[in-house]
Amino acid sequence: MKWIYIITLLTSISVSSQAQKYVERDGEVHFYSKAPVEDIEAHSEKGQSIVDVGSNRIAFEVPIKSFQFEKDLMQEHFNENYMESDKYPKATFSGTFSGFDINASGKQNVKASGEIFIHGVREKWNAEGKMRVENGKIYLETTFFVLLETFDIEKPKVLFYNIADKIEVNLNFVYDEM
Amino acid sequence: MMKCKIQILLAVIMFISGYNINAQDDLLGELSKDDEVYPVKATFKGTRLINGHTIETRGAGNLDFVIMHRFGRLNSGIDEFFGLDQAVIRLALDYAISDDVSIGIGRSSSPKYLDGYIKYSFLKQTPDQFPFSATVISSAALDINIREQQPPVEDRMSYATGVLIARKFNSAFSLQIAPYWLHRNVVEYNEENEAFALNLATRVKITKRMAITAEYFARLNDSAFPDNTNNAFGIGWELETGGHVFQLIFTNNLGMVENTIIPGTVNDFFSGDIHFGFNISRAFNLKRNKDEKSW
Repeated sequence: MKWIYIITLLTSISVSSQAQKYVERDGEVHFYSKAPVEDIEAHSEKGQSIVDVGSNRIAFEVPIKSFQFEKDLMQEHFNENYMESDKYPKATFSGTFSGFDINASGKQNVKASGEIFIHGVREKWNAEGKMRVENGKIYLETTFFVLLETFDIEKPKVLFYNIADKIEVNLNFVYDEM
Repeated sequence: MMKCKIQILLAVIMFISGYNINAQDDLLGELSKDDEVYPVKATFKGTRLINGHTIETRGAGNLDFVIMHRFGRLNSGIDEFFGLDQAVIRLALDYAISDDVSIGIGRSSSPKYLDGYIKYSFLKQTPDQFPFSATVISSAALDINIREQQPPVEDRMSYATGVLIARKFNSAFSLQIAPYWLHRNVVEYNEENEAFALNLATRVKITKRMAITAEYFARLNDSAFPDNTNNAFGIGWELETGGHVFQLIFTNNLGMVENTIIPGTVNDFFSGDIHFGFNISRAFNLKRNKDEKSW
């Protein structure tokens, strides 16, 4: 019966050694809210992500408090009132992707599907992006839209500025081999 | 045979658990290894709570226009329109030189004062690492009431220094404790030049944008002041609307600089000598965030 153990052990080792993982620890994430009164944008360089080229899995994470706004008070409101970042410190995505070949050259259109987690709300999520390989690094860029109401992000009625219902999010990640 | 089955079962469990480690959540788990810890923000909403300061300073380049307004006593009767006929105001500009250092200048009416301060936020509360935030404030005020025989400037100066210590216990509850030292160059014959006080302040959020606030200045050397003066006390209702903070307040005090807050409170809150008033601050950004690039 020992062989079962050995096979099991070998299988789990081979699963992890097959995994070719690439990681990005300071990825750029920014978002825009285009509204009549004032455009609001914020930027973080603390996006993290891992892609596993072996199993086509991908994971993202960005700390909500890492977003920098042009106006200090907006940043405070964003954390305190909209995102409740003490309670929900991160936004994450994890899922699988398709359409990427590590050996191909040029930009490749990829699709990802999985679960996104923002402001305590978990949602099935599909997104499209572009990936390319250069000097052993994987470049990823993607843009998607987030509706505030999907993630229970409340828009106050009495405000001296407006925010849009739909937020545009851009990611720009460069992965190194792990 | 039984043993064999158990072994197979164990092997299956091992396989499944081994597989699971490599499944979905694993990648996210690998990311969360070295999470950055961010200091606690927004312990209080405004740089002032009622009459006194809070530990808060604004982000670098922020200019706050502050309007503080106090009406007369609520119990002054219909002839005075319950205090609304009278008004004492302080107009001020506060500028944040850096994220931690602010300076301010203000002008109060009745009694007329010109005041200035510097505020330095030198400790930050950080989750699981440091339990409180601390700010030091140092201010100077010049009495500019017009008299027949105007004393020289140095005789009309007073100085205050406070060490403000605050903790945000959770997203709804913040508490501040602050020892103050007030020095007045010249005082009345029955008063002392040095005044020591302990400021206690709290904010309790009732909704995301509204809070109830309270503030108390307990004088530590009470005997140094005339018998008809009291400790300053106030309660308030705070509304934040993005860019503005409105604070509606009820206090026994008309003072808006330390020299009129700490020793100068004549009214007794609990006898109904209450002044209604408000603070409004409007923030302007004179400098763009330094982290902002060409994105």
